[in-house]
Amino acid sequence: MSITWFENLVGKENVSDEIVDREVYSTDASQIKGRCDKVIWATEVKHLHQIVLYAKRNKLNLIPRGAGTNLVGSCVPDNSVVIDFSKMNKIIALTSNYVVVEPGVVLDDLNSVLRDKFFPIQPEDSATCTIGGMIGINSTGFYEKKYGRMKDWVLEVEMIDGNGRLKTYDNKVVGKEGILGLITSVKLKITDKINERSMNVFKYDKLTDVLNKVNELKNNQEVIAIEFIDLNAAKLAGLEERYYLIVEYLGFEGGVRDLNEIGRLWHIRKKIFHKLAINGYVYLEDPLIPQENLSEFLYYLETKKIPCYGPIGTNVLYPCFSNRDEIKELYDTVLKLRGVIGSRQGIGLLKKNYLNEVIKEELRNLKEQLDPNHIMNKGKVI
Amino acid sequence: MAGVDKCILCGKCRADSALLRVTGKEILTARGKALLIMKGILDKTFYIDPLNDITVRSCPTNVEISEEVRKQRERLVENGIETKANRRMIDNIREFGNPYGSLEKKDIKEVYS
Repeated sequence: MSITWFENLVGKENVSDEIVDREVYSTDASQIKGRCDKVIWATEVKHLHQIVLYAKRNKLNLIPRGAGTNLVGSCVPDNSVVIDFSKMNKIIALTSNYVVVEPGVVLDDLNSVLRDKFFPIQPEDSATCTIGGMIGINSTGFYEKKYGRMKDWVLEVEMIDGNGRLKTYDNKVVGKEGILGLITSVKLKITDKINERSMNVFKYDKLTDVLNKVNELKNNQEVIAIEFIDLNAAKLAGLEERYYLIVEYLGFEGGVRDLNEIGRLWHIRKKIFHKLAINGYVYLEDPLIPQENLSEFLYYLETKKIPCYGPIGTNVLYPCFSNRDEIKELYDTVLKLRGVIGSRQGIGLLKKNYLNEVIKEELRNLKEQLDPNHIMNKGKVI
Repeated sequence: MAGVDKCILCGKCRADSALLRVTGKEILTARGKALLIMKGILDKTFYIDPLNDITVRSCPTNVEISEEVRKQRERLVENGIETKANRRMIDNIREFGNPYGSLEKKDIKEVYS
């Protein structure tokens, strides 16, 4: 396919087929390597509309990309045109109840302009993740116990589907990893900033004590976040070799009330992956384990000396690995314990063999309606 | 500090890149540079951003990308791949001892980094 058509449409500065750009956009944080034919930096909806119609006519594959920080290969191209949304980062409207934003807006940038309001889905990589990417994987964050997931906060999604129709959808298109269309704007609910907050850090020597405390905290309506660090992860992170629960409360039930100290505790938690990565544990998994099997799963990780941390309050843990070959055994264990593989970071290429068949069938039906020519993010999820 | 072989492509360095915010171009992030270095692609792109823009503040594996980019610039020069601005800067340093040229003329029009 000639680049001239694209240059005439979006301008030479917003499209490239140079080897340096094709190389950089051939992969994402999954480290899976694909082949990128062209990169387009999206700037205007009317351009995107023309590109989708052109792709439909010429059977091209389009890959929408936000920050490219997903771990499952959602943005890996397959002889594709990658559309980078980083430049579509405007806040279109801001009211006391909702915002309308372009998909390339970075979450921290959005929250920095909301003053006494905030967008409460707070994933670990809020400094880089884009709203479009968060919609793609139905993102969640530290405060899932109180605020749920992305789907709960999306009012409207304006999207150009694979048929080339620009329409407004409800939240049914959330979590579809770009296989239905290109998102052009999003209307999100916002809420009051948390002003009265406090924290506690609990340390334990026995897993049974950890699990008993987690059960107690789950029933406490004031608790909004329960994060866990196991002793293997603690040791690698330079902490005392014990189990940790980092807990945040609405109100002042926790002993730590100073905002600087609260910030310092969250900083320690957010740096856990950094510390593990420096020690070679660079592959992060995100299984969800049923409550009744959480204990068995934690003992399994400990026996195998697999460091883990994460939002135990939602039954999700982040075991980390230094070698991808070791992960298969983890998947077998998760399935044996009736857990879910890929509960937070998406499905993409890496986990599609593990996605529930019922969910897959629903997705296939939706894809047939909105992208029957299969031009959107080919080969992902289903 | 680590070399690019330790880059895990996580993209956390995007938060550190001011140029990314203006241009939207992944190649101007530390991850973009690391990918090119890993692939052995020598390109003028390495001249684009100032070395102090691409830091390791957010890098979980402490890749010192500035040092890696500096090495690539050395290789570029050794291979005769230069920009006009870079050539002029080197000539000025050799002739006048500073990157700007004759300071007596006080007509500095370009700033180098």
